[in-house]
Amino acid sequence: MDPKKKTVGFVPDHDADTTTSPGGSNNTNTVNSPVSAFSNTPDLSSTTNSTTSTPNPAGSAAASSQPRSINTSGARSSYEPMKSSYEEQWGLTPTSRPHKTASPRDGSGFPAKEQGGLNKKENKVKTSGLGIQPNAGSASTDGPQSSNSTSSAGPASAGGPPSSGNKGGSQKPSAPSQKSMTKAERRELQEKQKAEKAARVSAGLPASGKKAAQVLNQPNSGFSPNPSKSLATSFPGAEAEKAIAAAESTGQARRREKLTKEIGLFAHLDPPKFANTALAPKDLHPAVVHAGLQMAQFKICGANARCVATLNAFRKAIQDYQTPPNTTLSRHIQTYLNPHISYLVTCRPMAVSMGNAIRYLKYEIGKNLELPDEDARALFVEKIDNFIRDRITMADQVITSLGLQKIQDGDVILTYARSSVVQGLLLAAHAKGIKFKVIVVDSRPRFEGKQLLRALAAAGVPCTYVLLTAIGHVMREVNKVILGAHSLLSNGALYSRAGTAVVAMSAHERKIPVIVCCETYKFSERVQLDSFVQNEIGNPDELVNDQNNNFGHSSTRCHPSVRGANSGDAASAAAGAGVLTGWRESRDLKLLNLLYDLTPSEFVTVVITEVGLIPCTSVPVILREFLPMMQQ
Amino acid sequence: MSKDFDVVANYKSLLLNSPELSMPVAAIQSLVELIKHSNATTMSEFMLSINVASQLLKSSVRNSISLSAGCDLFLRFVTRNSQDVAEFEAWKATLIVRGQSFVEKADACRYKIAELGVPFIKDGSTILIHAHSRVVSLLLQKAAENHKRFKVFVTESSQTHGGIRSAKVLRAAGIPTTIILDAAVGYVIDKVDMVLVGAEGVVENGGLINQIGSYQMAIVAKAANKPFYAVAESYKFVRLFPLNQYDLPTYNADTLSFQELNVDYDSKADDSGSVSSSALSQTALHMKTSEDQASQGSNPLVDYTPPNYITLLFTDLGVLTPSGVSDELIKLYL
Repeated sequence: MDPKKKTVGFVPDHDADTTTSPGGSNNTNTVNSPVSAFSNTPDLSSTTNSTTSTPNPAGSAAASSQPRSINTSGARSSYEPMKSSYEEQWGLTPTSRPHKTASPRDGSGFPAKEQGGLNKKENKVKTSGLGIQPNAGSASTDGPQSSNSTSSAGPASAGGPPSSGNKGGSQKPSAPSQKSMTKAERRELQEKQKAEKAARVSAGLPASGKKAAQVLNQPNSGFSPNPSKSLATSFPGAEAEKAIAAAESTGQARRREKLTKEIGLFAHLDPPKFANTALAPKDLHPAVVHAGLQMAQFKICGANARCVATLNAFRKAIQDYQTPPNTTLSRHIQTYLNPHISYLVTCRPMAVSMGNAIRYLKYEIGKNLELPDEDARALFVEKIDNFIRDRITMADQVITSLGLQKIQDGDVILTYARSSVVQGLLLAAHAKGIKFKVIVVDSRPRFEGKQLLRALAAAGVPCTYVLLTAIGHVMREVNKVILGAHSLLSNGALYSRAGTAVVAMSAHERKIPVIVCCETYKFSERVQLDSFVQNEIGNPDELVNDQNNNFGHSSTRCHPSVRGANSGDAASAAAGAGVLTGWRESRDLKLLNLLYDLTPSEFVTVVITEVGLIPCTSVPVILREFLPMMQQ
Repeated sequence: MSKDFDVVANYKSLLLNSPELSMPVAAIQSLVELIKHSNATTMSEFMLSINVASQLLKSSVRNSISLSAGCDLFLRFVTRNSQDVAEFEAWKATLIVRGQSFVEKADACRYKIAELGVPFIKDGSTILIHAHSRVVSLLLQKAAENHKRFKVFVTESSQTHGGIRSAKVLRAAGIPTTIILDAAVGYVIDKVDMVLVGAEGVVENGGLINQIGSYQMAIVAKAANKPFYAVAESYKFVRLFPLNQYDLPTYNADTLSFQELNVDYDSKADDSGSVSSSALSQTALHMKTSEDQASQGSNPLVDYTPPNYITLLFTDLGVLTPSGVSDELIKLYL
């Protein structure tokens, strides 16, 4: 046992027993027991131990292969745990991978840019023909076809003066690679390209041939340049769905766009995803499809809500699952669930909470391979229910009761955006009769704080609402900062809604305690040193304030007089549109909508979890001592 | 219930009889006495009596931090073992034996810490200590026995005047000791090589609850880039997480409150001007009053030193960083 107990002399002889078997509920060790490993006691430590001490019933060959697959998925980043399997499954690997690797090289200003561009496009025409699902193709028949033809002809028609464009085109088939050219040839080619570029610029087109082609082709391509149409939030509506499906299936248009609009430092992250059922396999359970769509449209948002929605959808899927012949439920259910998981990943990158919950579910499935079908079904459903109850619902209650100790009369509490736990805590504190004020800090583009504000104001809590830009001003009257978390990483860093780091640092600067509320199931064994290595890119169009998407704010609209002075009639025709509306056509303008950021551990005073108040440097201790089954 | 046994009186007499006994150990010892005298027949009655007794103990003293650490540890120990009790009386006997062996081993804790801490004391160094702490004194005595030559500054620590007690002990051990004013910490810090303080309690994040004045010493030490070491037995680890000074269980509305300025300027004896407001202007006049005030409880007895000011903690579990404390506490209480 640990040295503490030894030296203090408080080592009870049955200490070993108490750690290996949960007191009073020893029967949970039996696998088949209807009592779940998460027994009713809120003392989670004992349940933890019971699950670890349970012998693994794996015996047969299949049994041994099953856990192995769990381990490999567990070893992957919790953000895209199923990605490769997804790609293999839908045959995306051969089509998407080469382009992904090819794209940066093409974008990096190769001297023979035109050449590379055309080759790639031809390539794409081929692969997209292979890769596109038949149903998607039929859904948008003219989309891919027309855009393929126009884009392959792009460079030729793009150049303002036709001669230069044709030259570039005609040279391509016979053109040797750069290395084998002579110096003179190379110079000639460069001169030619310069001339082309000058001609294009004079014709008012983007300097790069590719972009020029894109600008010219855009109206014809299946992808609508109007951001409001491609926006996932306009879903559900048949029209929007069609537009999105078209955008997805004309992967070409999207990829081309990705080339030009992706930001170098964040090129390794997944591009923003759209709600899309067109590419989803047909045999997905509707509950999962529903949850996925809601997540993609941010109708379900927040780590807890997403995790609960996922688990509930999986619960329905398991309940409705029919075992195919010649297999058993517990052996086949994982194969059945995998496409569901991949589908959720295609809707929105997996939340850490979802990853942990799914890993737990898979662990339970892998542990109970020998159960008869109906027992297994009941067990898995019960496990899911218990997970939601013990790790989320009960945990939130415990966090609330612990957090109440830290809220006193006269406090001014600052919080950022919206966290379900923080909202619950503040409402509970108010219900308890504590007199305190809340400053809700919010920011573009999601304005999640408004939801919190609405709830608090309805309950009668005195509130102030400011945007993140006013943080320096309001911080001087604050005496506690309470934040929610998307995840806590093993180095104690807090991974949460973008803007949290600013709030925490600003509070730290004034020595105001920063309290983070986080359930232990959100703890991640990942270590991340900055917000760049892993993050989620949101839809950049959210940053654009046009009529359909201004969230009631006109902050980035320019004043009519300014607009009139600049561009006269054109601008007044688009009256009411924000300055960023046409950002996709603008040559050098890129928008970045990062969803999360990282707060280093020194800026967080305390983390309130269901196991108590801990410093955030203790995350690995909790992971090691308390959640061993998460690492299975 | 054991109505005939007064746990508080027992506790106080224990402390009185053996001055070397620390509060948590004394608390555990009197709880063991309680078990001995207990004639409870059922488990729940027994647990209730222990709980009531520990509450009584905690409320009996003004500064209950280290005491509650001891009580909590004992309660934790009792509840941990209450799960599989075959025979009630036999179990009670085991508890008594264990509790007594714990009390006996508590002394060994201090020697272990002294052993671990001695290598940190360099020959020819100057050490600043605060007030009186048995374990710090023992560490310094051990170092002197090991032929380390060093000098000690000790703060007087008004209110308890623990510094004077420390100086006596250290001088008896042949260590050159100078008593300084509490206000002179900044003055001597440049001549000091390390700061050593004891602890009333070590909290969850590795911070320290100690006699008032430790926090400012830590801040001064940090500003002067001097190492600040805390010395504490592991039974002083307590599951508290104060956010700041005013988040301690010892804090109440009266602590350093600004009272009505109903100072009677004519009478010297019985006005109630608070220390912080009126004493500044009328220091000479109200010296006596301010001392009264301090003992009455408007001045805090302990303060909280956040972990980022603490270099290392010498404990019987080893030399820990502040975050290591949380590690040990989680292991113990989960």
